[in-house]
Amino acid sequence: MFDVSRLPLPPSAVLVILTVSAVLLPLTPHLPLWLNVLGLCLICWRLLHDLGWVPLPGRYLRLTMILLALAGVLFSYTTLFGRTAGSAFLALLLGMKLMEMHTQRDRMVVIFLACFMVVIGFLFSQTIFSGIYMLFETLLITTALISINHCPASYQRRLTVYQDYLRLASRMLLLAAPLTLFLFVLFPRVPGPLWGIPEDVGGATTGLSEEMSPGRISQLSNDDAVAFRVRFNGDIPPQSDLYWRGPVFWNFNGFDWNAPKAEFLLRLETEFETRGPAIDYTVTLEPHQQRWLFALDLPATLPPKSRMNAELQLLSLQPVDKVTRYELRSYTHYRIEPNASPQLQRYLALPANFAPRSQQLVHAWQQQLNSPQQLIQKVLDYFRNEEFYYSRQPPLLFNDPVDEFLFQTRKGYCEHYASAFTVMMRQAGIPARVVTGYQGGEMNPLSDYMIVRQSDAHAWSEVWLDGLGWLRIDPTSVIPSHRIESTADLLRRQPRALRDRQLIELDWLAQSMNQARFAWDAVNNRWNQWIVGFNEKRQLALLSSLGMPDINWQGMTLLLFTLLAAVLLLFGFYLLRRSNPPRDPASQLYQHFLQKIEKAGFSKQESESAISFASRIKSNRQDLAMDVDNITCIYNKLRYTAHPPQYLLGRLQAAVKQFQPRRLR
Amino acid sequence: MFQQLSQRFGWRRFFVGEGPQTPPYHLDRRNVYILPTKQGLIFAILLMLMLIGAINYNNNLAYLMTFLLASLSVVGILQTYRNLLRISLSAGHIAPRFVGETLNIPLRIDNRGGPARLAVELQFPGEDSTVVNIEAYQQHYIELESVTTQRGRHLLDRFTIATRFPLGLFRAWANVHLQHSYLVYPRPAAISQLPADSFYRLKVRGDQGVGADDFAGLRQYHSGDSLRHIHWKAAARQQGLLTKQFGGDRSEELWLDWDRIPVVDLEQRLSILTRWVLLAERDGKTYGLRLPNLVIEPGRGGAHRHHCLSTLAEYEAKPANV
Repeated sequence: MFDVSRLPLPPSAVLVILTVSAVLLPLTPHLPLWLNVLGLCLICWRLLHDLGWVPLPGRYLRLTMILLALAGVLFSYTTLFGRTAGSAFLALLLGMKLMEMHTQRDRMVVIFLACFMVVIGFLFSQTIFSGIYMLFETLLITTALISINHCPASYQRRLTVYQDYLRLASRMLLLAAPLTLFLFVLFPRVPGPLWGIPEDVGGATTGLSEEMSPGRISQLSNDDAVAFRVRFNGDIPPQSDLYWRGPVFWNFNGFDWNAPKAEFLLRLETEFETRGPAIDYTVTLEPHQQRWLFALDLPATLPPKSRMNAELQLLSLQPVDKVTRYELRSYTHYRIEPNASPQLQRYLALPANFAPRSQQLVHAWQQQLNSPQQLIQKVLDYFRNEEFYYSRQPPLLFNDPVDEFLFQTRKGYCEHYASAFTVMMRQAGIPARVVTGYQGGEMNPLSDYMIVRQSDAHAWSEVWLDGLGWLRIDPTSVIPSHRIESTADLLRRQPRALRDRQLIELDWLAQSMNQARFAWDAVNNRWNQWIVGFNEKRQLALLSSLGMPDINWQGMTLLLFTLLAAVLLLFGFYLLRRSNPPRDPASQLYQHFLQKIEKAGFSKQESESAISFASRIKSNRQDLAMDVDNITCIYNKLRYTAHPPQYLLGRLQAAVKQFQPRRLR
Repeated sequence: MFQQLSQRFGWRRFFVGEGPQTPPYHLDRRNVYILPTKQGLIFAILLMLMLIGAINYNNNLAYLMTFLLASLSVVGILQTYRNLLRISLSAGHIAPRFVGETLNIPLRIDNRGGPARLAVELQFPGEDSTVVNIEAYQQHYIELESVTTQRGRHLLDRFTIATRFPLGLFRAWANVHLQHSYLVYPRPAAISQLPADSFYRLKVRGDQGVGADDFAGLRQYHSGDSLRHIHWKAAARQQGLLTKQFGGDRSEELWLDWDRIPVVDLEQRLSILTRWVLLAERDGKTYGLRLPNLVIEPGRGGAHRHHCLSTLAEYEAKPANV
């Protein structure tokens, strides 16, 4: 088909350009625009040069280009090190190497650089897609290496050459796959970085933020991205207990809630009383570039390499820049710090003369009521009975976010309610703070884990009462259903069983969309559990489930090398075995004929041709003459004419099949 | 026994091979070696860097990519090795050449027992390499070239057959030493004249009617006479078949004599004699060769020329390079 069409470019030139483009592609979103444009120009320049249309730049032009580009990288990042600057630098190097690629050795260097670029790309993304794309890149790299090392003098400029290269490359990849698997599973994992990881790993991603400013943002995003996944070891707690504790804010400047880093205090001793059953679970956290670890309120254990601060928030020692797994034990019924301490003062601070109308209201209630519990109930009733709305697009608040919200707009989401409630508590002299995190989560019906999404982000309050300690109050939860604007939020509120029923009422399209979403999430979860989140713990768990419970790293290395040696031995036998040329069908049929005639007492000598063998038979056995002649004639035609017609093969087959020589006595 | 073993494991085998072997030379596990190329070592360093990066960032996809590339290069070892294994090599007749000329060495690469071998390099020491692609289950014929430097009968030099295909990270090679000899004639001297007439000696007998130059008469036809010599005109006149007889075979014999050369140096003398042989043959003369202790009777034609030239080539030559 394409055999005869001559290609304008040698395969190695095409494949090198393809490989370079393929490995640079995933980095384009992370590199500055000018670098992307430069890379594209360099690749096009190389292509045009290979086609013989333009020359490559001379030495001075090349030097000028690389100096300018280096200056550009330095200007963009102020450094050449770190993840983003480093990858920009390497990409630049790879592009410029295309401008001085002349020999076979140069091409090899370009391919090696390309291998490195692939790994650099994984610092930005480790999704399932980047995994699949990696296979594609490796196939390209292998094919390019093969084409480079196939002698340039005698290559045929035919399309079938690509097929041959691809076939060889994919066979080699296939053979490499089991070795890779063994290495991946059994290579002893060293916990922790060998040296400090540069600070710039990971850009900002969605999730909760370091401070909370109700009224500043007019729209709450409805981001369905997964925040983390949870697998419970026992029963799943009721929805109303699923409060995932995140950043806790106690400092309020009139607009923003935050927790000053300078005040970051380690909790040394906690008065901590637990009740009820323990809940054991494993969290697989998506990277969010912060140090927060989320835990079911309230965690009783610490994951490795983490701490707990004075507000009982779990913090990792390193920013979470990749999928992280940790196991936890929590108690949903607890009592913390029931006795007063001087630290409580900071949970009472408010800016001077802040929210005077709210202050008045709280004071009026305080006159009537005699216990803090009653006051809390009064405030919650106020939210429930007055015309407060739950809205994802509340009006902006300008001067006094609490008074404006309480007495004018009365529309807001969790942050508005938590903020207003906390301020009112403090006005009444009750220590209070804002807790952010996630509320709820949905089980993946196709698997056995719970998904908590960014849209489950929530904020609530904690108040301290003498003798009872810190209590969680969720003021948003008292807003009655008819004052919730969006159905999605409404759905979130309902018990799980009711929610499922409503899901069934959705039309089939929405239902199957939902199913697909869950299926996809299950696949993603597997990927995260087994590939991205694979660590020394997983490794040990996997090996003990395979019957090696107490394996250490020496044992693993030994096992690894044994398996590798065994597989290689097998491959050696397969690849280095003696192979016979494939017989053509005509020869096979003729061989069959020879077997049959041997039963009649004739065996063909090596030196005999088919025709002389036939005449020997004919001179002895007149009765076989016709059949033998027929078979020999067709066989010779099939073997020795230039383009034998295909129907002859069928005839030969039939003739050999019908041939039944009898033995003479 | 011990000697055999020490021979098999001796380091010499690794560098120079096992000495000349009677063709065909089979490439098998014992004589095909493999080591990483320079690029292969660079690649290994690259893999180490990638592994360190993967450990440091605890990045599992980086681990995966590193392991995949490492496994790929290990599979590459087998592929490269297989690219040479089970080939047989033998050489065809090597036509003699004069010193300074390029020798054409016809080689047969027998690949009837294996799949296609791509980018296989053959190289004589000091020569440019020749790259061939050998098709599956076929025999491949190529001609290698080698410049000759010394007259005499030589054993075919040890040459290497090597390959880096498919990945270029490893090079498999074998040192092939075939027990196969060839001849190099001395370099012809830069003179254009045969020795003077005084070296001629007249033949006593001559003009016996079997020459081809001058008409000498007619005789009765005998079966076996050339058709071109039949006197057709006489046959047309019904005079029977007559055969024309020619003379001219009484030409002088030219003696190329060692003692008549006014040069002392052995090689120069041989050079001059070589040139004389070539000139005599060109001019269609009958010539003989007279060397100290050795006389070649006069004669003509390709075989005689080769006989003379090979005698000159091997005259007091150093023994063949075994």
